[in-house]
Amino acid sequence: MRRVWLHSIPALLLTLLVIAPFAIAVVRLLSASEVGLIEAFARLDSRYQTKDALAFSLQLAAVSTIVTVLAGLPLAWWLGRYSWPQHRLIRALLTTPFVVPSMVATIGFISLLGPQSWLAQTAGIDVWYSLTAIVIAHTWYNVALVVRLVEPAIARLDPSLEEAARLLPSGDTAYKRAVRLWWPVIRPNLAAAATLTFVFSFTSFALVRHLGGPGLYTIERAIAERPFAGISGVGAGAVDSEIVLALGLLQLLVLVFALWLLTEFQRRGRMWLPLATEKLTRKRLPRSVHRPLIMGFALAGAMAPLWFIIAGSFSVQGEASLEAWRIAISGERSEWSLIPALTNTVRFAVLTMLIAVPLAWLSAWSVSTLETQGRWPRLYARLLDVLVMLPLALSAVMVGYGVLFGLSHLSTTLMMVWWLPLLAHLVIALPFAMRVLLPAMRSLDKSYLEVARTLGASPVKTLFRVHVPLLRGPLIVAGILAFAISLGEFGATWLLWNTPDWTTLPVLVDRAFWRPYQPLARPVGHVAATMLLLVTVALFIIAERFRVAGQEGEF
Amino acid sequence: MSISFDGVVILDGLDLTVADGEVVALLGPSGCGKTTLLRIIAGLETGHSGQILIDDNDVTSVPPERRGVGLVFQNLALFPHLNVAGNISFGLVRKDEEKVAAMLQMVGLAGFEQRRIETLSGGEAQRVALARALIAEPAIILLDEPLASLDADLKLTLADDVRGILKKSGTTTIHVTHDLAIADRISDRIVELGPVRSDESGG
Repeated sequence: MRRVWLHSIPALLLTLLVIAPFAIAVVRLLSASEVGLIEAFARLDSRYQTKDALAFSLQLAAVSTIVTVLAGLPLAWWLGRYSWPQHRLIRALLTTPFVVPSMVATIGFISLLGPQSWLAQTAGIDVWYSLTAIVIAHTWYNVALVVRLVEPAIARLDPSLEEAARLLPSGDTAYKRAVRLWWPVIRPNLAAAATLTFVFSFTSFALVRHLGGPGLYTIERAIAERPFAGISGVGAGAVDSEIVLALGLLQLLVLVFALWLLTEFQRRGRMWLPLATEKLTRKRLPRSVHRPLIMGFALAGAMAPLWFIIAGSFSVQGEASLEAWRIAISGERSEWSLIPALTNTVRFAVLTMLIAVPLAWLSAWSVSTLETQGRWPRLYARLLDVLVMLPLALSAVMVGYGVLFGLSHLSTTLMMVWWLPLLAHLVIALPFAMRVLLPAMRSLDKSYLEVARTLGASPVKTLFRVHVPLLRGPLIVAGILAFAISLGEFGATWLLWNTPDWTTLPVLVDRAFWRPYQPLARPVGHVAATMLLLVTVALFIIAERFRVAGQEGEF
Repeated sequence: MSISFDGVVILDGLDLTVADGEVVALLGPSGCGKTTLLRIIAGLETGHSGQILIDDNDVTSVPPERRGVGLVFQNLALFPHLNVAGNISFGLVRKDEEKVAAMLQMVGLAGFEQRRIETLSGGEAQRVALARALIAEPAIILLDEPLASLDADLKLTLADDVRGILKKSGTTTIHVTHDLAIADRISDRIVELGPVRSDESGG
């Protein structure tokens, strides 16, 4: 415990970044609200946008989770079980949706399912502004999550286990093996994927805002679209305050419960399994038509919204045209120039990466070092771990409110500083960077660091010549993840938006899609979304190259 | 020297003196505290009672990087991101190619400078780890069962080589093992650690 001050830095910074703003926001909302907390909960039912927000959020998240698991499990099973031609490519295509920014995916689905779409116009399938549309979009997103988390568990189990089961009476049929062998093997990862799908669907904002139309409000949308949001920033009225407070706390409760379930599933399901390389475990694909057919259909489904995003950027009022790209890049019409928004987006993303990764490193180092020591250091390590993960239980919009109300309390001039959205991006990106670095740090053989010290290396030399090079892969993945999350962040940035300095590409896409009467608005929105999509996918491909074997079951 | 973890006594009242240039083996079964003792001497384990004296200087509160103690781990802990020369010169303040070459010569691996760690055989890796610990000219070198992962024949041959290298360098050495044959082959003196600890040669 010689480096107590070093271990206390992450806790201090996180308290300032997460706990303090959130606590101040709650106190301010309580004092601005004319009624007490209980009364605020009771009144939710009397207003149009908040009436069924909790019930609808729960219904949407539950249906999305069930459909996602039903669609994702066979794909994960087939992909893990059989050797497909172009296996890596299929897996990459199926898991790409997970990294697509929410606002980008939203316009893909507007083009795919909207009133002007081929499905609606020609095929007569009208799911617009309905629960079905949002569930389809959530499933598209989260099937990638199921495949990403469950497929490695199937693909890497030592085949001798199944062979042994076949020879025993309790495993002599496929059904018995499914129940007694495979279900326990995949259950922890499937539970994790299902819980995360629930959390992401429960807090989904961009998709619900555009696909839900005027009638469907989740908690996230109801608290985000309060009249004061994004206008004055500080002047919260009594009604708005009580709505944000009551719904925010309800959402927090549900999310904390879901994340507690997630850690419980992971803790209980943790078991040692003999692993083998994927080459050994995969079987030859049986000669049947239905598997390739369904897989082809899934791949087409995974790619369709992305295709519509790109295609839309080359079309103005139904005619093929490069006009949107020309206007967006030339800066000829300032309102549709993408260059300032692109600059802001990249600036926030670079800074998020540069700050979040060292902070996540320091936090992961503290947790992994202290959790193996005495009682108090162990307790501190657990608290720090929870503190870093806390933003996962705060949706993007709630993080935005924390920054908005929490920091504006310190000084109103803070409301205009260019780096205010950066704080929200940092809080949102940090848990993801931490989730990549912490397992890597835990599994690193400590003797490398100890031998460096016995060879006379100072802590700084040990850090830069041993620790960092040995964790180069996870560091790059964490950096890319932080960069990509900031790049696509929408909810908090949209909520905080106060000056053009804060317009990022996702915010610009949202604006473009609320102006359907301007012929160039949507095509330019498609251009911005295409840029975001291409950069994110490129980053995803790079990150995959640095993913360490054995960490496939993580984010 | 005494230490306990979570109420379990690992070492209790141990007193050990090693003469300059002597090679001592600590012999004992798994879990008797051999590795813990080496980690305490290297400064990697704190919270123990008693003192560590090197050349009559009390180094008990000196951090590992300033203790002048070399340690060869059981798993060798060769840095996988550095080649053989990079590993050996890690403990040098300044790069010194001649010194690295001379050290490789001494451990019988001349010309291995550019080899990657994953291409080395078990015996070669063991020699590189020894060279890396010796090049910084530590006052004392600690070997934690470094031959444990090798097969029986190679173990005995290498034990002779290790003794030769240690004697040539003249470095004071404490070697822990649970294998009497190896202890006998490498060391000048054997100290037995066990449920009842005693110093076999009375030293």
